[in-house]
Amino acid sequence: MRKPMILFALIVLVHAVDIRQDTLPNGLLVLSIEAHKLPEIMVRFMIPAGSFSDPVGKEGLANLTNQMLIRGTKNYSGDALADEIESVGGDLSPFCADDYAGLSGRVLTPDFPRLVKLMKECLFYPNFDTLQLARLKREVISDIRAAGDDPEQVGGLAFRQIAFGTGNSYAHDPAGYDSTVSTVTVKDIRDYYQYAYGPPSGPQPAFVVCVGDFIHDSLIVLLTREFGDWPAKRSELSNVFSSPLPERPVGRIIKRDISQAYVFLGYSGPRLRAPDWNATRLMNYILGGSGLTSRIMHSIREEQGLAYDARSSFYRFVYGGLFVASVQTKKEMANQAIQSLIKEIGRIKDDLTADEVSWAKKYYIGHFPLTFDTYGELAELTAQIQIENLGFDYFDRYEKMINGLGIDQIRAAAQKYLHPDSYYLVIVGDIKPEDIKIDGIRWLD
Amino acid sequence: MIQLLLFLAIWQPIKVDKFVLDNGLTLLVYEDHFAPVVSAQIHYRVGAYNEPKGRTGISHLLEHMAFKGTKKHGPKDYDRAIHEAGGEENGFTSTHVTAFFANLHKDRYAIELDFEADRMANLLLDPKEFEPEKHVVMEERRLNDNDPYGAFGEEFDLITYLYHPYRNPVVGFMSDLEHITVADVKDWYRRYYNPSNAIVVVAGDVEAEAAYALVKKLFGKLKGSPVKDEIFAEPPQQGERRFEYRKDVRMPAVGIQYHTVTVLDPEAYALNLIGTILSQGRSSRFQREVVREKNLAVNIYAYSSTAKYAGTFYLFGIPQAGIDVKTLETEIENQLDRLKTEKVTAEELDKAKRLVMAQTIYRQDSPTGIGFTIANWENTTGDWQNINRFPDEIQKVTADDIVRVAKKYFIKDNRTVGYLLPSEKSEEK
Repeated sequence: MRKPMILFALIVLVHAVDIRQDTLPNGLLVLSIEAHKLPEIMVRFMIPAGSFSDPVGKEGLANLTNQMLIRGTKNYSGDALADEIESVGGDLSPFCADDYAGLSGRVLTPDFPRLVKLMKECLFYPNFDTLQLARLKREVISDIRAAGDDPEQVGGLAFRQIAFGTGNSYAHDPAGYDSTVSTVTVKDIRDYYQYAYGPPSGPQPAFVVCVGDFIHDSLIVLLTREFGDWPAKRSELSNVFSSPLPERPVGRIIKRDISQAYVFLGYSGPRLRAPDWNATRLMNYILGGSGLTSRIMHSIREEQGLAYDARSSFYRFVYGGLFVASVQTKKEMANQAIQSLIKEIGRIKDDLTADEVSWAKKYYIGHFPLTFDTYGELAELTAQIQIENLGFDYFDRYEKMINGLGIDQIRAAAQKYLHPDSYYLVIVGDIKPEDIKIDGIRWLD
Repeated sequence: MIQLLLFLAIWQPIKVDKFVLDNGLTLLVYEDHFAPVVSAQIHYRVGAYNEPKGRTGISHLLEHMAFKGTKKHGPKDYDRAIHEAGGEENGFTSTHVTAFFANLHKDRYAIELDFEADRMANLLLDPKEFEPEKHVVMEERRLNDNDPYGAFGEEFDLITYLYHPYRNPVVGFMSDLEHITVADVKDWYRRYYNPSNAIVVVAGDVEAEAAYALVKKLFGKLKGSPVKDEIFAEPPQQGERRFEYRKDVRMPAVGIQYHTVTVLDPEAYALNLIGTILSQGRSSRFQREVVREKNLAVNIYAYSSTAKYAGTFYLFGIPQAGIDVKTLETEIENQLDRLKTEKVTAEELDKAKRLVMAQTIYRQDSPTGIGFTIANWENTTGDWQNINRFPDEIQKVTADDIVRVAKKYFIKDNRTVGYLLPSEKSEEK
């Protein structure tokens, strides 16, 4: 006999997080959180120089520019930069995602000035050496080809291409394609750097997040001295456009000689800063975002034993987004798994219970402190709050915000963002179109 | 050297309170009051190592079945209770451990421990739940098979260890999964799931005495039944082993694996530093020379894996486009030969030590991560405090030690070399 579960009162669980905001003379925003648990400091420069601004035919340019920041500067070779930071057990890494690119670093407290000096060197004085670019391009092209051996990555990329549409700035992976990476020149990189790297005054500001064992006032003095005269830039959008739903299901099969079928089903979805995001994520928690407790997992894994993992996800960017439901299953069971995904996507639009909503709300409220219990997570959440323009009273408002959501709002999110009759479907595996029984589907070559 | 001294000045030993209940259950408490969060974990000293022929994957299968209900709770109750409390839960199985954990607000970690005490004594192992779950695990087996690099790594252990159970894949062989019955799993459960074979870890915003009182209350009445590992020894390797592994891949790969030493062997520290010198960070030899200067590899790493009863040193590389696997293999051999003939400089050795030891500080950022780490040291070495001896032992390693250890282990007769190559069908494409 099952024992009734204990029900918790929704008490305030959030601990105070003191995020200090300072603006340097050139407009660069510094978000800092002092924490003295460990003798380490993390820094992240967030610059709106992600792959969304890659020109058509030069996909991968933003990523190459970003990677080149640490491949040599006015005063250091790439090797010397690596030696300088790693000789103190630290790390300095470039990163390039769809919207933001930048540098992240971590050091033990006594070495913080060294990290800041090296970050400035990389951001202000990259030399964009021709030989280094040639080497980097070879590495990146090899990486892209290696990703072609992973059915998960192959399917994910094909899905974003088909769902965003050819030419859309989000349709490609930040790494780009081997055919476009090979065309990027040092001039392209220099031009892009001049255009994108700096604290812009546009709708997406550059900012710095620092978390760790520092004193706030000393931090601001140091950053003002090193970065206060960084010339401002303005970044503009290139090819972002809305991606309409198909009129009927559209499918694509990518042949691979493997025992499973990797399935991706969905379309474009809400972007960052969408006002109904909280309702949408609660809805998705119930649908396919909560692991073993979600409806999709319950149906596909628990009831039918078809897959190890099945889920639904929203991927959100500043100017666009994706919804995708995915599963990997034995190839003979692909059709059954796809039918189950479609059924669950349709069912939640009209069949949502108060119990499920209550459960999801309890989860999101209770789980909140776990999303910033390490320095790294605190830096992530701080950046997210800034990018989404959530306001730094977010910590205080969070519980009320989630509690205030009603079942109607969550149902409305399902009605708005879920479409069981019109979607894109990508399958990687040894599958033929006739294996998949979907009325009216149009298969692409 | 100055940098190293500076590090030793700021490094603080990890503090853990250890308790052992009368029934043999070990409790480790790590206090971290940064956030109001606790990671509550239970680590059973059983995994792929313990599995006999024909039963590979049974520990992992039992891990799955642990989420399928007890005499007190239905199959969904556990996940729901943890989620309603805002927690995140999971389990994992490896060579020597089957573990379950949940991270929760500090006021709620008792929920996890309450469920774990129940799962330790009262798992239902319902035949109706068993068959579908076995199919889920078989899908996990297929996922592994479809990951060419993961499958290649599994093949490596099968050829490196011809006899020792370290050859067992954690997820099990497909034919074993097909034949394992619910009765087998029940036997496994009765044998290994009891207090004397478990380590409970409570890491986060707790007081040690309060955690002890709670654990004693929940687990104290359960009966312990000590289990001893059977000990196996792999016969010494008497010559190089080579194999080809073919999959639907576009990028081939090469791997080389040497037999080495156990986790507490004095030479384990030099091997750890060799792995760091070769491949940790952008300034490592592999990244600097093999990837950037010579453009031979897109991905390459070296890793010393010293376990409870044996160890290996594994090197893996994916050649850059236009480079064949043999060329990369030769480069890796040359790099190893250099370690045998040229002493590493004081700067390079200091840098490696600093990188290794900085990781010991960074790792303390996460209560979950530090919980896993202390449980692993307790399980594999018998004493979590070995983690605090680690910096001193790393510090003692000299450039001569690196040469000596490289000469001792990186010899042809002691290695297995594998090539991951495109299958004939994918080559035709």
